[in-house]
Amino acid sequence: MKNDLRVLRAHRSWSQAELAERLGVSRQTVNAIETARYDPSLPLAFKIATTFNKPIEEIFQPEIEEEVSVGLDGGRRHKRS
Amino acid sequence: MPSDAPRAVSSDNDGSKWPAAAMLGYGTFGRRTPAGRRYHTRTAIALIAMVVLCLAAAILAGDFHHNSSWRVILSLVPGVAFLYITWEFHTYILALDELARRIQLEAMAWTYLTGLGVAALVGGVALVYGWQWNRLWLNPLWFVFLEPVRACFLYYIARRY
Repeated sequence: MKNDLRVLRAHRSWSQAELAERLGVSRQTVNAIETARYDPSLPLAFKIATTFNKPIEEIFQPEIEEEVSVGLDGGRRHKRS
Repeated sequence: MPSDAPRAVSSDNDGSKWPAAAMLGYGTFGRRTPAGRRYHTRTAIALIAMVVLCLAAAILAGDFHHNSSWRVILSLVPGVAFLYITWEFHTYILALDELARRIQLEAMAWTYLTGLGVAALVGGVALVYGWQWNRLWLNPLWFVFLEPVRACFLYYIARRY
């Protein structure tokens, strides 16, 4: 899942730690979401959307051109369609 | 610079910077959060109490008859201490944020699977070759050594994020 979290955060001049505090998560979680290594849960995605006052789909975009499957180890395997 | 222009993201924002020492040493994400501090403090108290009680019971039980109450204490203290630590760990896990909890649970799952695999492997070989086990090697306390395995998995899995 791609997202614009880093850009939105930078627009508000917030550090990762500041945003993490607003969202009630760790800075590592914010970093992992920004770098698309971790897809947030639905409640956290809603919280992010509320924090930035934007609809979820404006912040998170599915990678439609790629078929993504998630393995047991949580690692992503991308298969070009 | 226009007011709505993105501020350059400082370098200290980059990277995950997981607390490697706490992860490898204690199997946690450190003492920075209240839940982390609580878990570390209570676990340390439980472990110290366990060691002190076990030492006291071992010394005193030696002077008494085999069925002394100190022997009962000595036999139960490690189990009670680790049950308490397990409960505290459960509380700690619930207090983690979603990514940290996911990493912890994944590390626990891999530790369980590793333990299962090793037990099946060693058990199979032991059955086929008729190994004679010393009672010490059959002690369930050896399960405690899965904790360093969990710590290693925790560190390894966290590196993905």
